[in-house]
Amino acid sequence: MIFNSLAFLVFLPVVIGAYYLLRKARLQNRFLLVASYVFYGWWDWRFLLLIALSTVVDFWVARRIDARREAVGPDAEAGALKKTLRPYLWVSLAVNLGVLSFFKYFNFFSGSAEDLMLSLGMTPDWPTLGVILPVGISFYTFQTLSYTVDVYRGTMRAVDDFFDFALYVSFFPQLVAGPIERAQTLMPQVQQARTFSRSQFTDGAWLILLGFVKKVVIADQLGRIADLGFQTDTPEYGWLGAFLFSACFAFQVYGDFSGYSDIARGTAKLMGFELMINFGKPFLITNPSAFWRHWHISLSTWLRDYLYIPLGGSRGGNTAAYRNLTITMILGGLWHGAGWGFVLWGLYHGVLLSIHRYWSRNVWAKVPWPQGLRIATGKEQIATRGISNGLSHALLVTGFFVFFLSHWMVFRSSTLPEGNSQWTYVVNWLGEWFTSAGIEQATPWLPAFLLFATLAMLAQWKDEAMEHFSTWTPARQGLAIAAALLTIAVFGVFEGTEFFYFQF
Amino acid sequence: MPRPLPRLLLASTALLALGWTVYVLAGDALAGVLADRLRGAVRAATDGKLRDAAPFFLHRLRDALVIAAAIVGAWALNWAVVPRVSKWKGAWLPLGALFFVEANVILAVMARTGLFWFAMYAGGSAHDVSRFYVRQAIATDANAERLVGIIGSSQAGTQIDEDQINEALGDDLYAAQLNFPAAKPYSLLLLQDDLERVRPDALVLYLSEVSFLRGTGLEHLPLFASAGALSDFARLGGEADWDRDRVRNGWISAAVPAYRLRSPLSQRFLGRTSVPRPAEMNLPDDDLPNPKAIQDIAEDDPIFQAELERRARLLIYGEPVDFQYRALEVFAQRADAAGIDLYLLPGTVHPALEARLPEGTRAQMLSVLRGLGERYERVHYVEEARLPRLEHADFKDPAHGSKRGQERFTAGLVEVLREEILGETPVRPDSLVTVASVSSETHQSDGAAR
Repeated sequence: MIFNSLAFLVFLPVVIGAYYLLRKARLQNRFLLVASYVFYGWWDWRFLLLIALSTVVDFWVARRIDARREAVGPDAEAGALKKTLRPYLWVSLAVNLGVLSFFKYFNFFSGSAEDLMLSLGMTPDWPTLGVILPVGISFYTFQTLSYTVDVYRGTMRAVDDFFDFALYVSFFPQLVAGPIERAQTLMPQVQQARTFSRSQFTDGAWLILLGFVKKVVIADQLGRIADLGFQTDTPEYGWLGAFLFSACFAFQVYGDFSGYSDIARGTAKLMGFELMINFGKPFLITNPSAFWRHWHISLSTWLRDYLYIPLGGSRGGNTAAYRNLTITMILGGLWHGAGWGFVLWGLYHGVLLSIHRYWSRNVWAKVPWPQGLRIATGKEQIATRGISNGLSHALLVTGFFVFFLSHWMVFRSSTLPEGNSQWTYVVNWLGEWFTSAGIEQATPWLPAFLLFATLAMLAQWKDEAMEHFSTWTPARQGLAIAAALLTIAVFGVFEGTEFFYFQF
Repeated sequence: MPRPLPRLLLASTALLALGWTVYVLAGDALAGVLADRLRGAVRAATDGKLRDAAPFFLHRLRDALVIAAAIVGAWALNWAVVPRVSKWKGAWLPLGALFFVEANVILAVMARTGLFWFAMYAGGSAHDVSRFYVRQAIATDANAERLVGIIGSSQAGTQIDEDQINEALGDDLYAAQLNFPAAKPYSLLLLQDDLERVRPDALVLYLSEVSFLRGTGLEHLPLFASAGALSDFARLGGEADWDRDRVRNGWISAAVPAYRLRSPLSQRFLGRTSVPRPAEMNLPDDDLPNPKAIQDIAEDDPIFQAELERRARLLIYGEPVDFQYRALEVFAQRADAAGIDLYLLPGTVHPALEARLPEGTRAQMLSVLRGLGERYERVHYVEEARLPRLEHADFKDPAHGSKRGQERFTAGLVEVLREEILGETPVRPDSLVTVASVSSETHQSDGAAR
């Protein structure tokens, strides 16, 4: 079931109504578990078996880890303790990553191996499998893994109630495309009784509406333009098209994914749950490091806590930090999808982050730049005082946005249908920046781009205010609701387009 | 103690009252002054369709006052309601609903004015709906003694030239094109309220085989839906072609003016290419403008032949045909009851396309039209022998007339109108006499063959 479907518009009020009728937290949890399985099974009931498998394994593993830890006692030596617990962790990793690898990477690995053998003059002869990617598998796998790792690290205790844990894994608002919630924040909310809060409910309703505006207006309208621009890998739309179509794609992905996150968070709020903020101001920043502090925050912090830091982080000096950054980002790229395009995309980010790290520490910091420029470097702090600071920041934001369009092109090329050449695609796009021929192809789309991109920028600029809708004056709230509904009615696309991140 | 009205609201209300007073007492004089000064500009802007600009200015003044009244009314309502409702718990919900309803009411009021549609008009790239309402506004502004509306599909637009009619008969009647692309009889039921608002003395309805074949014409629901039109659909037995998405879109657009106006608004502000794709409003792709490749080419050209085949395949003969005949009867019945003379004009597609249609299609259509003319006093069937028979050079594609075809067909229509509406003896131009006599023979032989 997708959020922007008629089925969900019926499902949500029914679930919310029944949820509050049940009153007792235990009953509510059981009901939400059933509702979550219905929500997920709407795609294909067979996928439920995978969620159930992941749930059973991680519940058992965490319980065993806890039991072993207790058996060993608090005075046990850390190394010995880890040695005792590690086999259980391996079980979880093997099962979760095994399932993920099979469903997500089987085709990729078998295809790559086949290509390699063919290039060596050998003819591979093995059976091919038409493996379908279960929706949301990357999200809930990372969620359950983080739980097991946290229990293994001793930062949280294993959960006693199987059904509570099952709800944590399958909680329907964020099951399919995140945010990837940590057990340490979501599990306590599952375990304790939620109380109805009017302000939380109001904020939730607004976030859902805002999410729909982002999805059916910003993402789907700009997505159409981006699709038109990139339907061929030999474009002839000049520099304006190169900018416009890739910017449309950037805003499309933002509207789509942050819209999904808003609907997920809003839905959770309606039931008294708080999910983490997944998007900040990703297009109002000035460097790649800040981008990852504002974009898909639940994934970037996951990668930081469960991959980058365990790899050593920056503890081994600069070279180790660059290496770890690159490995983390390549694996982050592979998390998005199975394909060399995603590997390239991850590598691109790893290199970019490394360059930025070097640049901000060794070059930028030593030059006596004006204060406005200095503020805008490295940190996400936005200069708000003084015209020169504001202008400097705006220039840097614009410059970085234009530069970072290359990131979106590499990302888009990663999701191309089979048979399209990613390299040709990206190289041709870069070439278009240096030509004026055919720019009239892009001009008809400018009004739509300007309108919807402005909406997307407004949503980011005012993201904190959007979070606190319940504190607005009633008249302002009413105007915002009416404006959002009107925008959807006039500009909404009602074709039930799937969310972009479902493919990951 | 009651709250005093805010000064700005008070001033706006006073200004509005003053505006209405001026309109009632001196509207004509004011419009006359403006018309004297801007006659040339208005005439140029309307391609010479408006000879007298005074009604144009008078109507726009009234439009502006109506819109202003709606806005000031909503403002006053908010002044009275918002402070009270704001004290409620969860006031955001009723206030959001109130503002949304108000915005829609204002939009609905605006959509009833010519001023709004002139603002929506974006020249050649204007949306079909905007064109339709602009034509409607111009027809009303014409202040004609006898107003004749020409209705039908885009075929009516390419085969009948209103300017040619007005040039020939302009002193006695005013003809206005009120056709809508891809319109079928059921679409006319959707447009009926809008057409009646123009208060025509007569309607000339251009119909060809295309008007009856190929579906119910439900694609126009989202643009012109009303509860009455939706119930007509079920009553006429359209269930066979029931399309859940179209009907749902229809209901939403009947209830939410902002949704109904989404296509013209998008087109006006975002440009032609940013309008929702045909699939969304459920307009069939094949109603999009024909590729230029098939225009003005020889009949035996393979491209033209392929287009003929494609068109013929699209024209499916089946249940919707009877549905359209029933819809036409309802339309005729209502026109008759409203005291509007309805002239049923048998149009035609390219002869080669007609030959590819199921046997008896045209004969059945003509028989239905003739029957309607016999049953209803104000419904008049125009015998096809009175109109020129069009040939290949008269078509720019298998369904739409070329400039030459338009001139010839309109010349024939002028004579029909002269005779039927003005009661004069037809003055047949030489070219038409020749064509008419030839086509009359052709029709007779065709009839014998059928």
